[in-house]
Amino acid sequence: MAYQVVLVLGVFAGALLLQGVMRKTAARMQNRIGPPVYQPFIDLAKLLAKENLAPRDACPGYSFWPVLSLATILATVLLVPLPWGKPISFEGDAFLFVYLTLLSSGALFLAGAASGNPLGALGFSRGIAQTFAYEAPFVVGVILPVLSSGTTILAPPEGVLAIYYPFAFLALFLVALAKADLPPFHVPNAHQELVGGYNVEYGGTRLAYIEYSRYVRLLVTLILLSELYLGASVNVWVFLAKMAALVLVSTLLRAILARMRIDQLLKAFSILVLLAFFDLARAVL
Amino acid sequence: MSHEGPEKHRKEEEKEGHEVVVGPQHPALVEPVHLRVFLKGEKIERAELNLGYLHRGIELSFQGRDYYKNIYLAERICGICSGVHTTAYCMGVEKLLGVEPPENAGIVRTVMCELERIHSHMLWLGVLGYEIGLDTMFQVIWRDRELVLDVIEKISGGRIHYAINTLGGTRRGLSRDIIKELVDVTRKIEERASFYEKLVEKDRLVRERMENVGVLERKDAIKNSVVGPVARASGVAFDLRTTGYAAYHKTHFKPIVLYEGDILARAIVRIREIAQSARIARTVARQYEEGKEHRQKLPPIVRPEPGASTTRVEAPRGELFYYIRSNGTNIPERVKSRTPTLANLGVLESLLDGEHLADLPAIVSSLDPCVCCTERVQVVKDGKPRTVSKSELSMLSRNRTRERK
Repeated sequence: MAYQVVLVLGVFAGALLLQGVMRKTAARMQNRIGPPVYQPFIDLAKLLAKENLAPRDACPGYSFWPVLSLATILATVLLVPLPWGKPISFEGDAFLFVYLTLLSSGALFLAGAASGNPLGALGFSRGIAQTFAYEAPFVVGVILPVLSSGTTILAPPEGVLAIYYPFAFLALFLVALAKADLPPFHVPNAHQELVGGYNVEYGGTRLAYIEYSRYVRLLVTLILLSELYLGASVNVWVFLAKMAALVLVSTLLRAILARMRIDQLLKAFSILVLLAFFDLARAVL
Repeated sequence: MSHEGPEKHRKEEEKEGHEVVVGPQHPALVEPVHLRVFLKGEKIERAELNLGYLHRGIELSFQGRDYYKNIYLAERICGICSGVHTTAYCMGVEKLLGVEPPENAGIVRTVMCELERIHSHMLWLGVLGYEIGLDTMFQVIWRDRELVLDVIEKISGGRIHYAINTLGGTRRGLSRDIIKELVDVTRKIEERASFYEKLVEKDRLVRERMENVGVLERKDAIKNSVVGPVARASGVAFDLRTTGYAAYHKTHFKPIVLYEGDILARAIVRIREIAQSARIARTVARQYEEGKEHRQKLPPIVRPEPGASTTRVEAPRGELFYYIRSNGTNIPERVKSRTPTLANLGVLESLLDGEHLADLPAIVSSLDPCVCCTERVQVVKDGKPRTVSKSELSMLSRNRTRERK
């Protein structure tokens, strides 16, 4: 039990570090100095010390959805294959993983709808539209390696699948960014268009839940991506090297791409769905 | 501004659909623009523009200071195109005085106005990148903008407020070193401008966010008499620099005109104007004759003959108009400035109709609004305009403070 708790807390700290690294690298790419890598830890401490306020028009779910979002995504940590094994493993845990991540991002959009702000509601509707677009490629991306090894357990298959199934790999990689609502997919929480979308009315601890549940989601999806598609890690260093490469590429995408409009995003993802299903068909047949 | 209760708002909402309030405080729109946007899904049905958050009463203040002190005031009308305001003001007063400034003064003024246009357009382009969610474009263009600001600082001593114009000429001239550096920097700027043009034309995501968005047809542009790059992007070849004031007659150029009228066209017009301004600044600066006067000395107190003058110059955002009336004293009777944003904001509501909410920040900023230059106030009571005295105003504000306590 102690191991599981330490693992979950470790992944949470890893998500904070991930945000710090991404912010620093993106800043260097943009010719800025950027915040120190440990800045998210300071931010978290500050947010946790703040008073919790709720707007008058908020629905009862206002304080519940952010907690649910972080809790569900932290639960998935126990299902993800790590280089030193996974704590919980049973037949069908791949499906549980898919459901829990969906619940986690859905809870954020519901948080936006519950905040009683028209901009939060717009974040909700955009988020739902975006979820419809990326959920299919996400499921394909997660299920394909599992099916190819003949089980329904999330475990690294033999060989480097990214070479055999590049489209499914690409789909899962882009969905990792979209699931965390990071650029160029920061559509439901667009700062310039929706003043932050679903998190417009949030502050303090609840804002911390929202903010870091996104980064835990990104980290978990990237771990899954590196283990399922880039070959099983022999040791921790190989694992860290793969993760560093994935983080670098996603930061690069974040730095060079403009935000998509929701209709352009749906179009782009519909092409991605077709390609991902093409790979899935090849894997199954 | 409307101050109806929540009841009325709710009723309107049922009638009109979803209402979203944009501004006056908004992370994407730095200027205090207040827009009430009525939405159907993600599409904008109707938008209502409200101004009046940043009135500073500068036109009235002009009537309480002498002609020299007003240069300082004119510079502070705008935080970006400050130099063109003093140029227009000084040209207006010189017309009243019947003074012709030396040729070198015209050259320095032209160079400053063109460098200012470069840094204003670059600032705008960076903001546009930020509005479409591309922070890197914003950061990189603002880094390049420092090149121009450094030259401006070398010439005048200030980065944004140059304080270089005065009645009868300019307070500083150019030197050989500065002209050499200016030539180098303008060459570099031209290179960067061609890179920006490639960026907005070739990058697919950037292009798709701007193409066919916020289209202003040529006939609407003429009907609403929009000015500056907004007009030129809609096919109206209107550029006051071609009239040849200051030293613009010393160089040849044609206004840059595109016909699409969308945000992309406005961006390309401004990017090409960056390169054009760099060329103009370079050619004009080379004609500066060192050793000759750049200022005609005038007495410390000037009293123009009673009369009025009008001046039109091309500010980075379009036509800037100054009207100065003298009554024979050392204090102007009336100074009126019409800033380009006032002409351009009129089309904003119609541009937003039927567009995506996601495009709103980009459309608003594509007009390059400068609200603090634009705001004027007129008190209307019972359908008649009337004057409010200073003591009355301070009484009103004191009462308001008391209510708040």
